[in-house]
Amino acid sequence: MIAGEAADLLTFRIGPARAALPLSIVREVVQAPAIVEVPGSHSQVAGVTLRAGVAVPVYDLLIHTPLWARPEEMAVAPGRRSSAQHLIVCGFGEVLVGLLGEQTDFLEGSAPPETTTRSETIRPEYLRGHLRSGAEEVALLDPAKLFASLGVPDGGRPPATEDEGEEDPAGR
Amino acid sequence: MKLLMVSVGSGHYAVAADAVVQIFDPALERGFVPDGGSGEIVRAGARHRVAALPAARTRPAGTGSRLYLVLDEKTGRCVLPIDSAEAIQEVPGTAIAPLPSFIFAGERRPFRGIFFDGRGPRLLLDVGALA
Repeated sequence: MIAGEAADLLTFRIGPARAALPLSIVREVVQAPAIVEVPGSHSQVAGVTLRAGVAVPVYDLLIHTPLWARPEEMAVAPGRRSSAQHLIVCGFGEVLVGLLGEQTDFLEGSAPPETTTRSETIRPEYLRGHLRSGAEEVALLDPAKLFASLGVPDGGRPPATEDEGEEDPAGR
Repeated sequence: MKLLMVSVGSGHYAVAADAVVQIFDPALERGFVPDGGSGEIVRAGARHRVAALPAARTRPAGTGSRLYLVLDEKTGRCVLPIDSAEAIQEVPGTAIAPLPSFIFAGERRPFRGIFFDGRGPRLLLDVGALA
């Protein structure tokens, strides 16, 4: 999204906050996919799901404490996952990343975000600004900063597909 | 490749069947000494290193595994505690998607990939990383 331009957004709820991502990075939204927990993964990784033969890591932003201004007030106890039923699959460079959310909605041609920091819930360093959707304030997430904080490598890495993966899981 | 489907706690995994030397029930083994925190078991007078999944390590105290897999890999032999061995299934290598390395908290990656087993997605254990 270019500063000053209207952009289509996907809005969603994560815990106490209504957040948004540029629709241009969203590949699909899936309801309640099968997510497999991966022992030994980072705490913010809810698991992995299979989408069209690709292993997509699923992140639970509600338990990603760096995102929140007051993580101690989050409703989710340590080690537990949020109950969000939607998986928002995003393309970050060539990597697919899944985010758990709920009440997903489409916000068409929204006005450029205000840069003033008003959010009391999400830390401002992860935001591009704020928008209004009806009576509700929407925090527009900065995908690059958000995904970097989750540990997702920046863009250029090839996707984890069977054909192009750096390692053959079948051991051939 | 032939995969042995196993369960550990609430997790469902698969192990390359050709790496499994034996499956045994500790209740039927004479002289079996369970892992008392040393990371080893004693079976027939010999010590075997126990390779446990992180999920199995968090199992509540007193809820021991029902079965052990004896695994043989290039790096050595070890035993893997499991709760049940379900079936052997032929899974084409092309059906197994590798896991992105950046999701793991440590250097050790106990899983090689994920595949659909007919009912849902299942993780394939990396026996080499366990042994």
